[in-house]
Amino acid sequence: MIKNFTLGQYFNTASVIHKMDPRFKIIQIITLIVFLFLAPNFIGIGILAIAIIFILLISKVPLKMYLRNLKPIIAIIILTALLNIFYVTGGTVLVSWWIFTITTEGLLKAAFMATRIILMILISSVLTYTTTPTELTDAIESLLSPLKFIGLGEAVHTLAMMMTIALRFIPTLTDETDKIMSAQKARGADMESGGIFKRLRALMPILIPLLFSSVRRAYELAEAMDCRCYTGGKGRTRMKKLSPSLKDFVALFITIVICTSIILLRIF
Amino acid sequence: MSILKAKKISYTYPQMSSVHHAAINDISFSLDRGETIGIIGHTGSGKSTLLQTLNGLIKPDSGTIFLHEKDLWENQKEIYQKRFKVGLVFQYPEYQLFEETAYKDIAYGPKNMGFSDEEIHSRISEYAKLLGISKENLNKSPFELSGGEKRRVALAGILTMEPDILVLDEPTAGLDPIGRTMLFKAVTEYQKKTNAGVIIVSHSMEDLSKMCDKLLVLSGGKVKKFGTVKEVFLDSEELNKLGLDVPMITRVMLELKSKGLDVPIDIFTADECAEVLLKLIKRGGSND
Amino acid sequence: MQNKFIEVLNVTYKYDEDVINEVAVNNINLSIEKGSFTVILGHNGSGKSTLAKLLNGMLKPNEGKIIVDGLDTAEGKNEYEIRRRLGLVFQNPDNQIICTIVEEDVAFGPENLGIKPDEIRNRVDSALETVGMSEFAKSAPHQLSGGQKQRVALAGILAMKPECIVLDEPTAMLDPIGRKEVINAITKLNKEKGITIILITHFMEEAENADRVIIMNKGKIVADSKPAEVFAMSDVIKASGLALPQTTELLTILKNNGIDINCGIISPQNTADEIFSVISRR
Repeated sequence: MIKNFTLGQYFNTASVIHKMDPRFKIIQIITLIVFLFLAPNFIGIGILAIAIIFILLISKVPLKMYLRNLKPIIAIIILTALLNIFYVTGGTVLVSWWIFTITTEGLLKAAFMATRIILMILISSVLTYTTTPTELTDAIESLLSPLKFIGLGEAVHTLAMMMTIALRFIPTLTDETDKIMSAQKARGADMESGGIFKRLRALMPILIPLLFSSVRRAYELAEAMDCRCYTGGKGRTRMKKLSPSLKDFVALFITIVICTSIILLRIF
Repeated sequence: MSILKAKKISYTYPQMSSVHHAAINDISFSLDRGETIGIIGHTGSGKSTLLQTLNGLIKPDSGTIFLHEKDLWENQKEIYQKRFKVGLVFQYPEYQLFEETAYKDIAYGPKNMGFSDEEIHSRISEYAKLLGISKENLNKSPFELSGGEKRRVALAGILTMEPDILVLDEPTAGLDPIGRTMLFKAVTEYQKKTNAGVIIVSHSMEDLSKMCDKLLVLSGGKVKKFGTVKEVFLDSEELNKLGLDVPMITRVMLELKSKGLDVPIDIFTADECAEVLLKLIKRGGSND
Repeated sequence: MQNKFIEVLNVTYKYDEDVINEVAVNNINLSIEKGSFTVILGHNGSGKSTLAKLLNGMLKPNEGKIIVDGLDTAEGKNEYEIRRRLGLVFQNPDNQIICTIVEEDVAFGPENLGIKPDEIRNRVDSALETVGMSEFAKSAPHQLSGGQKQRVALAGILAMKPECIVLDEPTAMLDPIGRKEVINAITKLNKEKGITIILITHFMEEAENADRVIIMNKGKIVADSKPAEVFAMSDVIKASGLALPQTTELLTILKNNGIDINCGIISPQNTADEIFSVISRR
């Protein structure tokens, strides 16, 4: 059961989006999401929709994969849409029954909200499909690096190190959990029946060995890091330097144009 | 009469396969009372998957497992009870210890089986003795024990359940020679006492030739060979093709034979071999 | 003195100072030559792993001192330098790989040393090639076999350009194929790169190609000589809780039966040769 758990959803098609500097990617995607909420009308959303669909297409990740990410939030989209349909008044009344009134304005508003959420999910999926967890970690470390000027350099490095180690050990610990579970089942552990307390108690034979093993791993890993001269972030260099290329600046330019147009739409 | 029999069992993991999730394909063999079968195969040959089908942790996609001549999965609801008949000792079983004391940890299995406290106590005393676990250690936290001691406590946790079939996945991995000898001795004694069938997975051809009656060679999830130790090790060519070895002694004999000496090659232990060679050397001497 | 890389002088170490019989390492003297390949054999708890941690200064001796490449391990200021010059590889390959991608993990050590990115790239590529793992440079560690992971760990140490590598039971958790891969990689480092190797193990088979074999028991050195001479000491080996390989056992039985035969041999091939020459001599 636990095997289904995969970390990140990286889907490598070696597209231009994959090759972008992850820092530029993160910033631009966040910007697009912010502007999705700033867009005042259908024209604004339309501009963003075109941009986002364009990004989806050049990412070369099958559209099916993107649509799959929408599935879990269909309920939320429908709910938001319904709320808007019934609560927004104005425009021509289309149907009126008991306390419900559906107006053209309501329908438009519902469509507007739904599109906004869908676009937000799609564009965030681009980040997870085209960026490895390692790139994300590196990008976050780099983006947060200005914090060193207020004395938080080591904290940023530690955070990035923790993320790296967590990513590294999640598959290992998942495997281990599976093994311990099977071993305890072989000794007659019953995790499928009984009330909530019985089930919680039945988890102990899995959680305790897992905890001990994690502590042991952490201890050994710390020793191994010591042996490789790890002394924290100070004086440390990196093999891979994140460096933006022309395509990153082109993308940035496009994003700025889109955002400016939306600001203009808001003003006028 | 076999106590455990696999008939054409196959299983593929639903998710993508990795080294740990090797599939098995069309596997058949049978184990008799008091018999020991060794399983040889590389990492990824499907050994672990096979072992887990034997006590119902994994339900085969096709094929049948017979426990005491009855389909293991005949009644889905009884699988929990049947699992107790096939004691499965996982690789590095010490990683499953969790109780406050070694004693309580060993008692976990028998308790799940519903035995009384007295019965559990008498079983633990018996098997602690068989495995050389001291009274003092029984009252310690399992996490305070040494690696070898932990391993024995984990094994005691299965033996006290008195399974009819004992299945061991690389039981000596990571142990030093003293620990290895002790563990094998305990398994042999358990078998003598209960007449249980034993299945051992190991990479040591030397250990297998000492412990086993039959060998099952697994490669790519399929049975490549199943026969007596002699039958399997005599076909050293086939084993080599699979990247597996015969015992060191057998390799010495094969080498001598290729040098033109008339020596038997179905010899797997140093003692047997010395006997043959001493005769040969003495005879060679008297020929002069 | 020039060619001594490590000098262990009257070193004693106890994990618990108060308990008298818990001496892990008991008054050991040892010197390791530059470029040599030494195997230290011993059962679990013989003090061999403690010795490994003493050598790179993770543990400090209670008595005596250890000099690594002219640096005293007891002095805090030497800690970093000693770890750079003497790398340690551990038993469990899973617990010494830190990063999520093989090549980034190999880069971890050099990054800590503050080496320039281009130079790290070169070191990483060449270390991975030396251990035969170049094609897995972009893989995730959890997709690798035990032997492959252990070779990545070895490459990670190698990229720091140490003069000596100490390996603490690197093959204990591996299958025979993984074991062979790792031993081959270690042998190559010694023979081709001239790196001083100290291999700690309880598999006697792994000691056959060493320059020198040391047996430890109860915190003391009980044998220290060339492999063939040590393998012939069957009584010492057994008393130290080690197992004779089948071949050596066979030769020992033959010798005990009055046959004039060299019993310091392990490989089946060489054993057969020795037996054959004895038989043809008759």
